[in-house]
Amino acid sequence: MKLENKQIAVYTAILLAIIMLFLPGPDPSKVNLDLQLMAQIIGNKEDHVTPGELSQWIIAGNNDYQLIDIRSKDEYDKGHIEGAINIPIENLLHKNVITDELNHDKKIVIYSNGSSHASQAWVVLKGLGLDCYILEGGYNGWNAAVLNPAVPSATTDDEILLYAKQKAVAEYFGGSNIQVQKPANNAAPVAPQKPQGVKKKKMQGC
Amino acid sequence: MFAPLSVYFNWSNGIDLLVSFIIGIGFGFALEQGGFGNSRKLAMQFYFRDLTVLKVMFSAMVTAMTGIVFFTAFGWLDTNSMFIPQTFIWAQILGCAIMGVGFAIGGYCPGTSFVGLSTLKMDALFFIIGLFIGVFLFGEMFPILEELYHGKYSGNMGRITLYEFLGVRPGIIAAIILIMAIGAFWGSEKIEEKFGNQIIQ
Repeated sequence: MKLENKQIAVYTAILLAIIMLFLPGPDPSKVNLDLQLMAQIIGNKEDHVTPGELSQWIIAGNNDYQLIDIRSKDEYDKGHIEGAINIPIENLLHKNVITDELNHDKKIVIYSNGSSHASQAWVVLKGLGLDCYILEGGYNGWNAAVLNPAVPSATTDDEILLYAKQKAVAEYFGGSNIQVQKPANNAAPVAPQKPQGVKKKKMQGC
Repeated sequence: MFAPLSVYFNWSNGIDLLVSFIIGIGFGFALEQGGFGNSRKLAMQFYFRDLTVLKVMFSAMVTAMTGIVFFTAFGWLDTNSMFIPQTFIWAQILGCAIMGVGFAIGGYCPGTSFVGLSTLKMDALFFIIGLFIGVFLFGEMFPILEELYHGKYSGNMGRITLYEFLGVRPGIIAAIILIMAIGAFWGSEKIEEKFGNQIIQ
């Protein structure tokens, strides 16, 4: 039987279609750094969440995020933020951890003790196309800002209200050194803590 | 992995444009040889008399698609480095409808109008003048259209492909589209047989 050109074309196309059904797609662990986009995200401060925001998410019971503690297992066992799962940074960047353990449909919030390890991991995870955020200030910042909120030095209604709110949050997370001292005393705070606003700025970046 | 070439060899914009120019000339030449510089032939598709446009464009798409799927599987091509325009679903549906109306009225699409101009066709020249008037009007009306262009009415879905949207391997989508193309070619030949010789009043 002699095949016409048209028939050859159709048979070739069908054969290619069948082969394509079984071909693998792009490698999911391929890092693609869109430098301009990343610079834009960092510039717009969309690369991190603040301890305050995270504490609200936890209290509200949000489940649209995954909280990852990238410190060592020892440190995690000593204390960690509620709901965090422990993936030490040396394991985090493995191909099967990234594809299987990280939830690609949720926000991923990572934290280390400070910010540098989390920032390093952030660059890689962002390059993999994950919706990733750093916890601003890391675990240390969390302890300072959420568990031990600073006592306001001024006594405006707003500040007292804010402090009461922060104290309630701290109690929720079982903060150990809650300052029970009334703001109305107007005395210098016992612990040399700065107001949260100042702290925020200091802890930005790596 | 060596493709896309412009990413892996870190070509400057100048080299990029030069290569685009050469490829564009080749594409334009192929279109002209296929008769795409003739608005009458192009318009015939809307009367089901000559579906060459559909066949050529669909062939071009499935050829490129098959190449991309195979190259990706072989590890030659990094699709993440490829330029994939963002999807603005509502804006694009409206834009495509406007372009379709323009195609049916003018007998050209933007690309083929330049093919037509290359052989000095007057209707192509008028089409291009109209094209620039449209570009100018769009620019002037942009503040009104901005919400639709990339704002809340645009239906922005980001940089997404069908296989990512459906969560399957690219090859599966490609196989389905290739079979669809064969069906479309077969169907268009049947339609041409039926309507091809009718005289338009």
